[in-house]
Amino acid sequence: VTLIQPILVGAILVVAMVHLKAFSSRLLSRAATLLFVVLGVAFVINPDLTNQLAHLVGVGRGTDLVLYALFPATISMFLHLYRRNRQLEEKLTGMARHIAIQEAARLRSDGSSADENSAGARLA
Amino acid sequence: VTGSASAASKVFVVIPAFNESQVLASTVWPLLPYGYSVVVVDDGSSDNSAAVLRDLPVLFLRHPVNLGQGAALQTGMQFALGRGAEYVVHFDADGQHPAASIDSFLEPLRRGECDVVTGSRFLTAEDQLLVPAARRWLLRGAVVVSGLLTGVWLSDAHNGFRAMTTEAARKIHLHENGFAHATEFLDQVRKARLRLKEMPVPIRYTSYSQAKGQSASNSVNILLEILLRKLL
Repeated sequence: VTLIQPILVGAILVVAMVHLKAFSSRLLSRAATLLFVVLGVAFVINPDLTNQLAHLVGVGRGTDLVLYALFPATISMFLHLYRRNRQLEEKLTGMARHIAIQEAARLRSDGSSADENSAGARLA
Repeated sequence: VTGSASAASKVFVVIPAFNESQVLASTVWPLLPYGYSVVVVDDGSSDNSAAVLRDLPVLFLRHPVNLGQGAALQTGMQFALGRGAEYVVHFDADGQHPAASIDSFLEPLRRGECDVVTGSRFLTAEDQLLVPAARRWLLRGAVVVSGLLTGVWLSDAHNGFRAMTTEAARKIHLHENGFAHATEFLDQVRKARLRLKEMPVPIRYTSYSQAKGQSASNSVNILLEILLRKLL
């Protein structure tokens, strides 16, 4: 056992626990987290596993395979975040729009009654 | 003509405004004699936009947070439709557009010749001369980009002055909160098979409007925004 192995295993477990507790409630996401833990711990304990897997798909080293796998994972995370951000923005827009229309004020209508004179006056 | 006053009040002029309090009142003033329903959408300004319009007969809407010009236009349009608008006009807050042109924009709509009218500063030689050279080239580029992206080829793709019928306004829903709404607008015009006509309009360039207008570097941002949106 090298020094890095327990550190990595610990890190994997902490990340997974935080993820399960804070972010994921969907089954699919929980299953993915579980898979991440199992694979991660297996690779850390037996580094040669990644090498064997790499050779299986024609990649020279296990480290390279992990790096290649990281690439689509990062991209998909980015896209996911982008979409989430977009959805949030749309919700915020809808809310702001609703408020703006609800609170529309006639600053002054010609021949207005006195109570319509203030900027805060609501339209009927 | 009797009834013309009520007809004018069915024309809703939507002015999106973000920190435009310096010029907002002077943009709104020339519109008032025509009897249009002027809708100012304050896009979460941090200046005193409401105060400078106090005592003017305008409809004032305010986004509680800043969302962008596209969002402000959409809010104004939605509001106008809810208030029985017959025509909706988009009008820039910085005083670039002549109020007198609105009626000429409405004419082809009233005659049923088209559903949407957009302004162009490139249809007459005089109008074109008013555009600073650097800006002219930038806008030429914008025309090509928006033509390629939307399939609608105009002479001036980024003119904030537009007029449309209620039916057309109902078919448009801007989701682009930022300045990419200009391209999105054309995209939706084409998809809804609305008939579009460009009409000449001079743009008054002032040092104020040039400072507030889109810089060349920002147009790259807008392009990126459009592309990201198209791809994702």
